[in-house]
Amino acid sequence: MGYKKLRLLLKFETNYVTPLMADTLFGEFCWVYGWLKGEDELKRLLRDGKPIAFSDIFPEGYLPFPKYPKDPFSVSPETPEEYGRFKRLKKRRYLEKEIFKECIEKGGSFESILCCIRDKVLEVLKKEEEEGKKKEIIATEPSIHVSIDRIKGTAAEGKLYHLEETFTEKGELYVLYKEELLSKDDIKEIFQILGLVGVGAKKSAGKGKFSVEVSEGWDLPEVKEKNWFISLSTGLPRGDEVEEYYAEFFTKYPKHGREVAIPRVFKNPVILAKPGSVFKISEERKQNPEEPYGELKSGVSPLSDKGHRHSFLIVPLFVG
Amino acid sequence: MKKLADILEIRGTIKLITGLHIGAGKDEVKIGGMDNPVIRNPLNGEPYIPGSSLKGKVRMLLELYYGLFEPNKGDVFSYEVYRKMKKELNNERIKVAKNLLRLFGTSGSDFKDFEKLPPEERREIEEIASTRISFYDLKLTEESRKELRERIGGLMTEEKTEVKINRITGTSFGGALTSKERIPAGTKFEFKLCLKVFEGDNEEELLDLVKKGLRLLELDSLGGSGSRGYGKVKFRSEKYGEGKLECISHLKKREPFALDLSSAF
Repeated sequence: MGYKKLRLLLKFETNYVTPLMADTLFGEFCWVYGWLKGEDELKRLLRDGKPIAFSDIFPEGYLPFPKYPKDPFSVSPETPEEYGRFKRLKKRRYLEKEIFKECIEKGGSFESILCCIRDKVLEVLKKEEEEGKKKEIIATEPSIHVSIDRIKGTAAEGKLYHLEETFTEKGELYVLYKEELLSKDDIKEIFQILGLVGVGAKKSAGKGKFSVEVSEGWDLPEVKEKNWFISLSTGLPRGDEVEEYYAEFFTKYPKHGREVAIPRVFKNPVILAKPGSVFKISEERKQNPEEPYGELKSGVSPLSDKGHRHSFLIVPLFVG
Repeated sequence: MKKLADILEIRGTIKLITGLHIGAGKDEVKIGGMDNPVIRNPLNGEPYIPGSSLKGKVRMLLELYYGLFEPNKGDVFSYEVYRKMKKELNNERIKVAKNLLRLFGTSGSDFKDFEKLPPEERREIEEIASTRISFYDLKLTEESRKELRERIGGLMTEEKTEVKINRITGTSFGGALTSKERIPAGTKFEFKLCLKVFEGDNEEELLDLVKKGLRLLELDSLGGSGSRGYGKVKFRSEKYGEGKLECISHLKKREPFALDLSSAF
């Protein structure tokens, strides 16, 4: 059973509220799939275990910055300027895709690829310092909202709340899917609908809208040796799939969307790894290294008995 | 799980007849900056109309028009309010009330005693759940963007100064001078909203509510200081003309059709 690769280019028409993580996209995808094909078809799709996996959405031309706390990323800086640059290197969320491509094409071991990434990013940071400007690719802004009192016509007492909104122009998303279960056209149609109605919180109030272009394959170079991968998704591999890792874990409190009428919108908290986490695959997974890692977990949602699953699936990007 | 019957995209332009102020709600004041700035996109600095302002105002106007809101607190019309009011409503108003909830959605707090509810009420909630309407944040049209840049410059807005008049002296009241940033009259924004129609929904009734809501917005105002003449708007479709919007079906093979706001009432 083979997986096919797709790359989705999203042109944002509005800003968004919920961070566009892989598990959120999986949930949104399943709702639209069910609305179009029916509940039975959705259950059949989910029975497979790994029908489709999404990466998080990154700004166009960027990948998650790899997390690798040991050498070569912890070289001691010699000047205050270098120290400042190393600090900014550590805080980087995104890596220019061009730098990644250049370093992969240069070849070498996993460590030498990371060294190349470090050197190239430091060059970019130095150039930014010299030119005195930094291109904003993504911005977050707080916004204040209030409900209107229907009697007084003024702001309602106790109804003031604030949201953190993210602004970016274009985003990219990498997909692995089983072609015997889904087609490129199915995925395109579902993302077109998601773009129209919006994704994440406040979608009915103007957020999370986009148009989408779908292309087959990824525009990323491949390595011959498939031992280490950078995770492109918010997710978690199973214990038997990896043997070493440099990951940043966090606790997520996932929520159900407004699509379901349940008394408790929160699912159970889950521990996930952020995109950019680096994993070394186990011997067992060397037979089929390119399949998504992780699983669709039951027991996270209060509706697990009705077939609800939470995606821990990870799209891997191999680096040697 | 409900099945989706169609997705309707309603689009056109929204033109400002008077200056519009939708505040950014800034918690900081910059030296030399305006007191009441309008909301802007931080990436390109352009002012925009948040979909939340549109949704909130249209919902409020429809609730006022039908008298469907929490009668003591003036709160939003939620399923909980509907459940309390249900006995007093006739069949026609129950239909409107349910369509309002279908369109604008329900709140999580509506379901807190969900499991204790009788089965028919649970079925009703499940049928209503999933917000049908989806507003968009509105961007400037290309024409307005160009015009504002040429006429005003990068800021694209005007500053309106207002003062309170002292009722005795007939002159300005000390300390009552305020200034507000406004998007100037004549500016156009690209308008778009989407409507999910599920099997079992009455598309005509939902569209009629949308039409009424948008017409009420034209008759009332958008944003702040509406009673002082701010935020009067008009809808227009390139294809169908003034007071109309274009409606496109995404899942059914139907020709686009006009949504005529002038026939709303």
